[in-house]
Formats: sequence, structure tokens, C-alpha cells
Amino acid sequence: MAKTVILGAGIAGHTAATLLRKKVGHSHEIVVISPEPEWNWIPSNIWVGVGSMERREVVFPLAPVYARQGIEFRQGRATIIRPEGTDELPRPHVEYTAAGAATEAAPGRETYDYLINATGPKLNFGATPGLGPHGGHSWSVCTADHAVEAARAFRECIDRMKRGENQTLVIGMGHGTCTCEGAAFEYVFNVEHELRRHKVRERARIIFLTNENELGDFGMGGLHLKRGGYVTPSRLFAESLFVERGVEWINRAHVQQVSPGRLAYETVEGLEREIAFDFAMLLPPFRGVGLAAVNRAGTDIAAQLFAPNGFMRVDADYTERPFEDWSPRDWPATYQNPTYANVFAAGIAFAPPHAVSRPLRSPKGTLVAPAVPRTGMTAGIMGRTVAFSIADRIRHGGESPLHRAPFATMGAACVASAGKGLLSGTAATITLYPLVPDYEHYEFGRDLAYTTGEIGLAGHWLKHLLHHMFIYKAKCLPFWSLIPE
Amino acid sequence: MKPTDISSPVAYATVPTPLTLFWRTFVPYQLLRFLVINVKMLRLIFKSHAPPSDTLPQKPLQ
Repeated sequence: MAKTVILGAGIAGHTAATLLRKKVGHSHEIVVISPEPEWNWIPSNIWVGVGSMERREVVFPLAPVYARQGIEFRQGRATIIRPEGTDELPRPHVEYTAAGAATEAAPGRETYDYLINATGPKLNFGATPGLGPHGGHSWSVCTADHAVEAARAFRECIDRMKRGENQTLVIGMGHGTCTCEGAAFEYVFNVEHELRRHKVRERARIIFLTNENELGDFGMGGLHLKRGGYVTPSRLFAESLFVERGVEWINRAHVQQVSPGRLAYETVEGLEREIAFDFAMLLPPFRGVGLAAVNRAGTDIAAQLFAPNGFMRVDADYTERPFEDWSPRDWPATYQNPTYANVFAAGIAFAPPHAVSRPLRSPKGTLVAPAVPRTGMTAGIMGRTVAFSIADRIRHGGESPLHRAPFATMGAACVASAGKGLLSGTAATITLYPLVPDYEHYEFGRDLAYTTGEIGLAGHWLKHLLHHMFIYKAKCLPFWSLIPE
Repeated sequence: MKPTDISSPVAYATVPTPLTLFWRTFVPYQLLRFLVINVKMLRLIFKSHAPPSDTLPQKPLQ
């Protein structure tokens, strides 16, 4: 009997756990260790964050689903990976501290034959002084609880506008190295939509503050689309939407500090400015969750397992090179750790070899570099690929070939809500292939037959459909596995 | 937003016409677009899920 331990129960970890269970049957052990007792469909946190959806609609408890699937669930936070075991316990194992209601419980440990690191990121609010909802002065929609707090503050902002006050709302990225610009893009347009719905739009100044080189970059270096007889950059479509909705923007920006009602930022061009705000939702940068790694001799081997940003090294080429010399071939395909063959990383937890969007520096030397998004569909595909590789090795032997899903040749489908409403909502639907631009094969870096984008009500219906479909799939209800990642 | 400052990117942004805005929420047209977008998404999903032909996993060991 083989035992697989999965750290994290987000899109990548949960996909891996459920598919692995389906593949290997009930004769092998699967343990999921996650600090959160609930699964969260994070894309819909945007709607929770503006008060148009309830928290309970985007989360469900994991324990009953795992109990039904025969997966053991430990609510805890992994702290140390010991891939060679210890003298006392010679098998590879993971140590974790209990989380949630069981925080008083003694630290636990789980031995493993295979380990999947799918912890997701640490929300690194500490990177910018004053950033974040806990001890800081801005809101976030990264978790369902953050979104509920943001919605409450946004509602107070609306109430002040209804009393006749003008308000300034700043939405965007809280640091020069943030990722997930698409989430902030969605949030700003949902905020704008709600303000119109509440008939207070004229009282609001909305500013989008982003580290993207241009609007529509999304950390992917932007994209080109065929439209109206031209091949046009996504910047045109993004800027058009901002102008249409009257949203101001500041790009190539790094937030230096957030104080009560005020934030300071600098730009790549060398401008240093302050903005006074009444409401700010600023996403944090991500880094690894801070797992330690120790070998049999007791030596710290974190540098072997993890990149300096704390994300796990996999089968990518991490050689340092100038941006121009990077290639799509540098990106991973099997998500296997190069040092320990039974350790894999999926989703945000794997270390990207380099940026896709060109990193820039301000005259002061501040790095402004949007990181590539690796959530949603890509996280699901990575979880599935790793699960299938482990299933093959469990069933057919430890030397079975690994499944491959090269990150560079994945496509990405993104439905970015621009306002919720059955007949009044809109969303930007974007498909692109490949995720990492490949200028050797495609003139514009991507296959224009698969790279498309449009905005409309249909996109909103699709976003709503995906919300229900993926929650259904995650609950492992009948025929769940027919829904693709 | 009035583009009074010609150094602002706002002055050079494309802006949708009233007809474009109408099509975005015109239900019969959007029903058609819903079908089209779904087909596009499915094409992309099948392409992303299919491993590159030169890297297909070999037959598992027995």
C-alpha cells in the first residue's frame, strides 16, 4: 500500500487528491494537510468582495467530501519536509502544526511515499508597510473572509456617497512584484458596476493602480488578438474598457507604503506620488509558505528544494539569464522536484523559472515585475498531471514514465467579470495559447486561432456557469470527473 | 472622462460606439456568442489537455 500526502487543498491540491483517489482506488492511502477547513472557489471572491454574493456560496467544508472519497484530512499547516526521514523515523515524512479548532493539539507528522506540494502562496502583506486587512490599511479579496471584510468596507463607502460625500477608491496591486492582476481588474469593474447600480457613480473617483507594464498585460506580457481586420494588442481593449467606464489608471507602479487613507507609490518612470483614498483594495505579492526542509543528517536543505522566493523547484531551468535569453523550453512539464523523485509541486507552489512579462526597474532600482499567473485552469491541469504520474508509479512501479503537461504549452481560459447581473452583467472572456509566448513558432508569440477575447453578457453567463460547475466538481458529486480542469 | 490632457493615454484609447455597447447586452446576440465562446473554450481545453505528441507518456511498466 502506497501513501501520498498532499499539502494544500486549493484547486491544484484538491484536483490531485480527488483524481488520485479515482485512479488508484481505495487500497492506497491519501492524506491531505491543509490549514483551511473549507474549499474556496476563489474566482467568485470578487463577487463576495462587492457584496453581490454571500460567503457561503463560494465555500464548502472539505471534511465530508474527503470522508466520502476515502481521503484522510488533517487540518494543519505543514512546517518541515524531511525527505530522507530521521534516525528516529527513517521514512520520508512531513511535520505539521494543527490549525483551526485543533490548534492546541500536538504537532503531527505524516510519512509518505509520494508528496505533492500544493500549498499555494503565502499572502505576503508584510512586503509593503501598511498593506492588508490585518494590521494594515487596505482590503483584500484573496480569501473568502478577506472578501467579506472588503464588502463591508465597500458598503460603508457606498453609504457615505448616498449621504452626499465624494469618495476615492483605489484598487489594484499592493507591490511591484504582485501577480493575479486579472483579479484586481475584475474587482475594479465590479466595484464600478455596483456604484452604478446604487446610483452613486458620479460621487466616486476610481483609480486602478497596477504593476503591469501596460493595461492588459496580466503578468503574461499581454496578448494579441485578431479584431476588425487587424492584429491588435490587448492593451487597446483594456484601455478602452477603462475609458468607457471612467476608471483612471496608473501602471508600472510599486506601492511603497499604505497609511490610513493615504498611499505612496513610485513608478518605473521615477515618479513618486501619494494618493488620498477612502477605500483601497490592494492585492499582496505572493511568496512560498515558508516550509523548511531538512535531510537525514539534520542539515537545512531548503535551498535545494526551494527557490529564493520560497516556491518549490521542479523540472524547470532556473539558470539565471537576461530576460531576452529565456525560452518557453525553460518551463516545467512534470512538476517533479529534481532532487527527490517522489516530491512534486503543483499550482502556485512551483517556482516559475523566470518572468513572462518584462521586469522593469525604477530609477531608484525598485523592481516592478508582474509575476506570471498560475492559478485556475493551469493549477487544475498541473494537479491532474501530477496525480496521474503518481497513480502510474503506484500501480506500475516507481520507474513508470511521468505524465507531462508543459506549462509553456498550456492554454489559459480566463473569464473576467466586469459586473454581475443576469441581464446587465458583462465579463471579458479571454482564451490564449500558449501561456508562455513562443516567438519561434508564432509571429505574435501566441497562436491567433486560439487567442481570442470579447466582452459581453455571454461572458457573465459563462462565469456564472463555471462557478456552479467547478463547485459541483469539487464536491465530487455524480459524474464530477467528466468536468475538465 | 474628457481627454483634456494629450499626454494622457486616455486621449488615445479606443472607445466603443453605442452600437457596440448595445450588442454587448442584446440577449439574442449574446445567446449566440455564449455558444461560440463555449466552443472556443472547449477547443482550448482539448488542446491544453492533450500532451504534445513527442512527449506522450510511454506504456506503463507492467
